[in-house]
Amino acid sequence: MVRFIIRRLLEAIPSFLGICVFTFLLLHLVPGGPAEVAIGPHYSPARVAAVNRALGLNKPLYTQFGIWFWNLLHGNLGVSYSSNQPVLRMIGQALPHTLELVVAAIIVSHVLAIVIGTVQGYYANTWFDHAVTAVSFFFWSMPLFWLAILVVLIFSINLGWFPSGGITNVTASHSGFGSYVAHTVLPAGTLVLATVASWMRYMRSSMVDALVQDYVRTARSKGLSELRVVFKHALRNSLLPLITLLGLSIPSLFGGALVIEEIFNYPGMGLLFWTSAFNRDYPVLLGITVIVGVLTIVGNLLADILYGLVDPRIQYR
Amino acid sequence: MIANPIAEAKIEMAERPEPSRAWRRFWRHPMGGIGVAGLIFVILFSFLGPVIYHVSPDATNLLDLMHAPSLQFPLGTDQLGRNYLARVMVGGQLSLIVGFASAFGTMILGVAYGLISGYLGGIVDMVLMRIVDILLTIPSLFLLLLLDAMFQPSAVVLTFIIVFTSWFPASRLVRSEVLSLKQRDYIEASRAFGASGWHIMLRELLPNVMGTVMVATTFQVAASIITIATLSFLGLGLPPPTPNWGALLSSSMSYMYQGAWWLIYPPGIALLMTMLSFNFISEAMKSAVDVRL
Repeated sequence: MVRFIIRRLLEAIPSFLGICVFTFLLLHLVPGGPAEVAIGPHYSPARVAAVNRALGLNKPLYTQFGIWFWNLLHGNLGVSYSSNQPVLRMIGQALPHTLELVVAAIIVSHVLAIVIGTVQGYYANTWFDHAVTAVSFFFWSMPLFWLAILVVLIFSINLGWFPSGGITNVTASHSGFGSYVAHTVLPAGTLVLATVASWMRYMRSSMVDALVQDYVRTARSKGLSELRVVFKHALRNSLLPLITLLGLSIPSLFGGALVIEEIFNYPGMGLLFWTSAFNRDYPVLLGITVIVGVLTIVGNLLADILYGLVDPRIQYR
Repeated sequence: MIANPIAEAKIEMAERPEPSRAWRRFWRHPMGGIGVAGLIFVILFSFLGPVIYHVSPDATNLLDLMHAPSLQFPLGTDQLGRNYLARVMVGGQLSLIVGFASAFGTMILGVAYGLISGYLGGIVDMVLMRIVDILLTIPSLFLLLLLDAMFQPSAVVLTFIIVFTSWFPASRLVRSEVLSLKQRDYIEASRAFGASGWHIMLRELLPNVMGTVMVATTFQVAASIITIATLSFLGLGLPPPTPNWGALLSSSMSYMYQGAWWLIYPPGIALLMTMLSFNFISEAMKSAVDVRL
């Protein structure tokens, strides 16, 4: 197991390097540098040259990359062009919020998808199955941002149950945690609604496949209760595709979080990335892309390990 | 009995391989017809609609700001008094065109990449797929936002940006299909006859991955349309003067608290209908050509 993890980590190094080089090149090969944005209306070639010199943008590309990468390895992601704050600190403030959103959504969404999908697979081709399929098609086709708008409209404006945006500072106020949770319910709930449909469909079809397997018949003929047969024997095996799917869907979850953070004005990485994209704030954009890439690699690794825990047939060497 | 040419033709039809059988299975699937009907409706609404309902989407009526739907304005008016029905109709045009164009481009690039990678195999395959793996770790929305903010694109540039950021999954799909097809006897036979690599790739392998590719294309059109709408919603994407569904929804958010529900539902419903149609079509196609995605 430990050897497997070490091997996977070593394999991840080229991917990590690839992400760094690719993002760096993408940002620096494109015309229209940050100098124009930084200077604003008082634009002149001399000023642009001065800003470029100050930011080190006049050096050859490989030197720029070398400096940036060396600093990255030392935990220094540079300084934001637009806010003059260290990028690491900006990400450090935003990342926990995004992680809470994404992790909460993954957990709730999976519990829902597993329970509903299992029942749906068990009662395949009944009215229950068809009804759930219809509903899940609906949510699956729903544009995420429109879904978020509707959620705000219904639960915040019309019903007034939850705040529609922002986040309160946990450390500053005494009633912090409750209000923090209240602020997270709608954004996380939207992400759940957006993801649960496709996971449910996978769960359903995987359950349908599992229920006709020999080991299920064996379990039944041993006289086990239906509940045990379904939730112990069939479920465990039908979870496998879901785990792979989880690993693969991490990038799109971050993408979804970006849209949701923008709508709910939720101060996570997505919102930071969005504002930085408008400002052409290269260091922040680079930093976030690299961090998200690392999180995806880690997420895939966790998914692989989880795979082995659920499926006893897999042995790590 | 005299030989009956029609009967013979029928037998021939029945024995015809895949395409026509798949076609019939597509129409027999309950979602196939509904999806096609929905898609035709959306296309007619966006392209024929403005011709029939001849009202300018950009003309402002300063005396009729923020009107709720009425006989004069079936879907109400926006903050500048523009006819919302006209705007929602026109709003679909560019989204649909760019959606189809970019999905087409995506598939060409993805299929070419996957064919080459799968056919050549070995080290080339390893390197090419490693590149795809790396690109897949970066959320595509982040890449799109980056490129979009840097280029401030026109519709054509946007098409290329979407193609550039969405061809990886298709290439993977095609490559894995090619890997299994490559082992079949008919490829071996073709090679024994001295067929060139190009011939095998384009004439032998490509037709056999077309089923998968068609299903993936349908998915991709839907994904591209959503992407365009999302980018426009985020303030990027299609350039502003012509309305589009994403941008309409984005500006409707500012009037949400004033209860302007008529600005929020129509573009969203139009988008939802488009997505549902495509998802129905691809679901029916999936069962018709029997592929798993």
